[in-house]
Amino acid sequence: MRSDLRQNSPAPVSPKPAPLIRAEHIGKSYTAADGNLLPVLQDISLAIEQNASVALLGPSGCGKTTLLHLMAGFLQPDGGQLYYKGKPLGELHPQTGVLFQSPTLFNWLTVEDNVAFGLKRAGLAKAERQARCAGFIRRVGLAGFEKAYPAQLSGGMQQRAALARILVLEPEVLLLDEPFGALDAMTRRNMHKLLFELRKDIPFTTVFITHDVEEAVILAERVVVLSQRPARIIKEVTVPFTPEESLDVDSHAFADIKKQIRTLLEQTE
Amino acid sequence: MLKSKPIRQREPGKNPGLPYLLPALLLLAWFLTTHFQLLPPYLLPKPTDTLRALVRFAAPGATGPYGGTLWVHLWHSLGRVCRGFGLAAGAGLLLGYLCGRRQGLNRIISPFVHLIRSVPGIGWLPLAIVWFGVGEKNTLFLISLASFFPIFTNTVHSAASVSQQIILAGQMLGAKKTALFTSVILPASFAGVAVGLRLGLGIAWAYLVLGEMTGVNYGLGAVMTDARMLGNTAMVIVCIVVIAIAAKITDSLLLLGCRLAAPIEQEKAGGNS
Repeated sequence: MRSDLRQNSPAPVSPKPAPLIRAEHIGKSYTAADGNLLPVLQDISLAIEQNASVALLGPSGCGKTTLLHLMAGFLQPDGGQLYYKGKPLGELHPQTGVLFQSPTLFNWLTVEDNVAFGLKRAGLAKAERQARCAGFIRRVGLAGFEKAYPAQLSGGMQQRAALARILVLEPEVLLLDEPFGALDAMTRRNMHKLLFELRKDIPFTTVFITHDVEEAVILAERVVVLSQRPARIIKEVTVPFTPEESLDVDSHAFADIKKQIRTLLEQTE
Repeated sequence: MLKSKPIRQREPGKNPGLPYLLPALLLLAWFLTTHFQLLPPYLLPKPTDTLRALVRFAAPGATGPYGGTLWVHLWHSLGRVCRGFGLAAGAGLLLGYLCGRRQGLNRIISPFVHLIRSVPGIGWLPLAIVWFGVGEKNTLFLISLASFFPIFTNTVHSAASVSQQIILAGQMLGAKKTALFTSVILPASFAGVAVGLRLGLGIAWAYLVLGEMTGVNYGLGAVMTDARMLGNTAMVIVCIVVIAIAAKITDSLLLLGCRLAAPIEQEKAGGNS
């Protein structure tokens, strides 16, 4: 399913569907403590197709999170415009889920109740909620931990629960804000595999930010390389791998792409 | 040859008897002081006399001074504490959450509240007497005023400390306005708010006695004042003991209520840390 999409996109003759998210000349500044305007994003334009997997890669503190929060509708840009399915993006919309840097689970609720939170807000009946939640909890590998509280879980398990809590709402877009940065290498790799598995079953668009080149190459079909703050787009790199190839981090092809991106990134410093 | 010491079964500091050590020593000192008549009985009555007074106070239908009247006095005192604490909790929680979540309102209200708070509660007594006379209303005023402050302060702080990311998470999952408050802000801030409520309830008992001593017909504070004027020191001590026990019981009930409302906070989450 994934490879079909990939074959479509580079072909210029096939009618291109309207991108799911489109950013046009986005700019954003913050007011620093001394009252000066601190530009964070500068003239960002990019298009993200439906079911694509895009990484926003940039050095730490370059403004990646700001860009992600703009896409989530948490913030509004100072200049330019964001579009969702061709319509200007307003405030929060239910088709977007955000996986934060830390799991941000509700620590007063069990895993099960955390996952059910969004469905409850949406007004689903209890039986329906339970059935749907059980499915997603199993899918992220937390079966048996339904009644556990977040504090009783490891960091990786918490992120799995946070992922289930979002995916149970069947979002069209999943925005990930360096969610695996705090995990150990082994757990992180398992999370990468989990994301691939989930996307095979339920197609959704992923946009994630990272400063880890390897993670970007593993997860993304397209890597958008950002400069130091104020962030602008330096280049977009297409990753021509199938999911299986993406996970083979020791291959030559993988190393080549990694090197290519790293060189781009180093030019910005 | 060195012999390793046998491992102690019980960790030091974990002995369940420790909390009773000081009261037991105090009781012993009391017993010895009165036994050797180091202090005259009008300053310190014998423990046995005090116990007898307590039994007489509590036994329904008992004759003699204050015989069997414990329950009616306790009932009135408890009622005042509940009403005063209820008022304070209502106002403290409402204003606390508003100020904690609305920065502008907080800048208007909090400095003024902290200004008033710096007046010791007892400093309000003369004004309270002028405004409300002695007795019922004055007591209620003192209790609710004094216990309002810890409830308000803790609620403002806890409500303001709810992390922005937790709120974003709640919004992202579809909780808006009222639902966001009841399903995210309220539970996320609850542990701190509960601390404020417990402090407030403790202070409510303290100011109960102050208010009741100004003159009510029924109440433990009234019994204390009366007994003091009659030189019945045993009864004063009995009242102190009754208040201590009653305050402890209401505190435990409040804690139980808080745990039922937010079952995890204190125990299960704490077990992991």
